[in-house]
Amino acid sequence: MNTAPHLFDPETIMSFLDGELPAAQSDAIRAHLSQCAQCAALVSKLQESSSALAKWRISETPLGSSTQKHISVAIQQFQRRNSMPLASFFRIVKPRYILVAITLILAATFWAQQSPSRISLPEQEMRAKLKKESAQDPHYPDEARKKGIQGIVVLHLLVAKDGSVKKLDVVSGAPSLAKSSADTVRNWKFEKTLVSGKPVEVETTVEISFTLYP
Amino acid sequence: MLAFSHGDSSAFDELFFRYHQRIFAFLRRRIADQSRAEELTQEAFLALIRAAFRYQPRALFRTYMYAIAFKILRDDRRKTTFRSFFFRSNEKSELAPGPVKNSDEILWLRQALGRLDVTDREILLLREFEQLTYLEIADLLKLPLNTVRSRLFRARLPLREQLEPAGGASAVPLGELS
Repeated sequence: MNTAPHLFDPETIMSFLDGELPAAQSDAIRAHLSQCAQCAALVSKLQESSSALAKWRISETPLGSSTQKHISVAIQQFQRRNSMPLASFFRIVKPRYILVAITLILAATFWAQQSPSRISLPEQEMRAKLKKESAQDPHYPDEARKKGIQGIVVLHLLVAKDGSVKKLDVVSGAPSLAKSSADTVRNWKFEKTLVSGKPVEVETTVEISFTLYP
Repeated sequence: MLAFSHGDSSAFDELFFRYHQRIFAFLRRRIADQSRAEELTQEAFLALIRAAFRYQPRALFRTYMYAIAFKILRDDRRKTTFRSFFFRSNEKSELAPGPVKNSDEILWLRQALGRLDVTDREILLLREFEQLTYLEIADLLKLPLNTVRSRLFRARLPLREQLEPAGGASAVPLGELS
């Protein structure tokens, strides 16, 4: 046998011996081995290693009655579980996934309560946040003045996260005074209100006083 | 296994018949104490039954079964290490020699395999005794396929150099290798 140029690395030759290669490559290696003494020697070494280990045999173990009993009990438990209602559902959805989902929902609910998206603030506090450029007083309507109408208009505001008036409701007050108040207050702009660093909507009540003889 | 997972208990008998001795041999080669190897074999099959409810045939059953046995073995080794570390127990060490029938044979095989890197040795044993493919070994040990191949080669050649010339060795209780 002559020594031919090595076409395959030693690990590939080992893979061939272990039956890990496709048929075409195995044929090529077989042909190479018939011509290459060095690779044939490698094959012998690998085979000797496997043969030596193959002599390490383990005596069979008898099947004990305790093992049979334990396995029989486990199979009965398994069959009971398999015949449970919704068994096919729980086969796909593991109970621990359901537990995780419930935990997440509870955590999200708790978080939502801890970080409300809307809060209520007293008028005084909101007036301090009122931007000066938008802080116009309502006009006293001439008709109301002529008729001697005076009093207090109470407005309920919902201030958006950006500080603009999102919703306005008249709670009480003379209609003519209320209209003038609403038209003015609707254009008020407030500083953003932050809770835990995030802007929130604010509910507040504003009172506007119209007096003929101050 | 799929049949068993859908309630056919006779399918389990077939699996048990096919794999009981194989799993015992797998564990016995890695555990010094024969009775412990028997206990862990039983544990492996109990774990198989427990896992049957949600069994999905993603790989060959053989790989699945050895993966269970491998996990049981790893957990047992961890427990043994923990106990010996904290309680200085008198339990027999996994590396202690087993019952000696042929001390020379035990010695050279233990020495030869014992000199190998732990992972190299595990790959070699899985290939030679469990007859797993490279891909199955890679899956089981979570190693890249090429790493399995190169480590197997690295384990086999020095083993050949260290082993005595063939002849004589038989039924060697090498459970102490772990």
